Amino acid sequence: MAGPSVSSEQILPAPVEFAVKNATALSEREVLERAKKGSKQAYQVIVTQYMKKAYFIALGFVHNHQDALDISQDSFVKAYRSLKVFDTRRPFFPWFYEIMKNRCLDHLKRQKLKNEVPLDSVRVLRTEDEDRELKATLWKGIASLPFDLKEIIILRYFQQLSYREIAAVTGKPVGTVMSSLFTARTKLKKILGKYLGLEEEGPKRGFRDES
Amino acid sequence: MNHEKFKQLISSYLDGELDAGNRKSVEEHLAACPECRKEYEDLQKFEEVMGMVSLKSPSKELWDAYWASIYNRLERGIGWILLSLGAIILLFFGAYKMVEGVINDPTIPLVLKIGVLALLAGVSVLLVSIIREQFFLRKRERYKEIDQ
Repeated sequence: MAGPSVSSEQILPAPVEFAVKNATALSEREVLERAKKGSKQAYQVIVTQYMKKAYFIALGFVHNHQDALDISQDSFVKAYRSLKVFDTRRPFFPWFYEIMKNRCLDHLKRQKLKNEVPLDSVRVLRTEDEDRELKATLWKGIASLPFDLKEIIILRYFQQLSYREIAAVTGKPVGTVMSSLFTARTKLKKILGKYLGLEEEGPKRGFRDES
Repeated sequence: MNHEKFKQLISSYLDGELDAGNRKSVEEHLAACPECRKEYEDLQKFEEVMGMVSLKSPSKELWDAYWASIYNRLERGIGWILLSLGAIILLFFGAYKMVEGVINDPTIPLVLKIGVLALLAGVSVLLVSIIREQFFLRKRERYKEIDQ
């Protein structure tokens, strides 16, 4: 790998080739060690490796393309500046995810303060017209979940992570992942009730029904 | 085991996340309990719907430009640091020259000299205080503490 004297013209035109070539040759830890010493080329390998994952998770949280892009990129910038406190023996993504999750949380809080509810977001879903309403309802349902349940749903369904992987990324025990996923599913199932052809669970009518 | 507990296990059963023992007890329970079988079928329908939902991928150009945008932000960060550093050096040098000129000029009254010195001392104290505050805040930033 070239030293730090490499100009931006040399770095920018062919990022992907560089990333692919080097990602296979070096372990993540070695690449991170180089990035930690200030190699932006090495950091580019890391960014290229995780950018899609980061973007789609952020999109799941904030429901808006531009915000997801800004937040994921900002988080990579922030992570690069904090690399000196990062222990390269650990995997990069859970650490990065914590940074990005905080940014998403801040973003959602600000949105809530401004009373902007980001629900008009079917545009970010790949959708066909006949399913549009169903998907919109589901998406709104996901948006209405508490943050920790939303997190589990995004990681499970949009990243297809296993329980163990979700536990590793979020730092939660596998048992908690399992019960949170169950709770989230139960809530979403209720929201989607009529689309799933499920019986409506109407309000209890008190003593009359029990007699 | 109660139904609630089984329903939770059913959710993990569908995900293929149960060990052999739990899997077997879920299967036995499903065969015997209509209520939980209903839950199982509902969850299957739910999974079907969730399987239909996927997020739109942005254009290839966006992914190609993704790193460039981060690179620019990183480079700009260094730019700002250098700019600030340069400005501080120029400021201090200018101030030093001005003080030298004022002190060595016998035509300027003593009161004015004291005034200029006090003004510059005040500006220096404020500047140092702001820099210290910024540095202190940076050190306490929560993202820096994430190293577990």
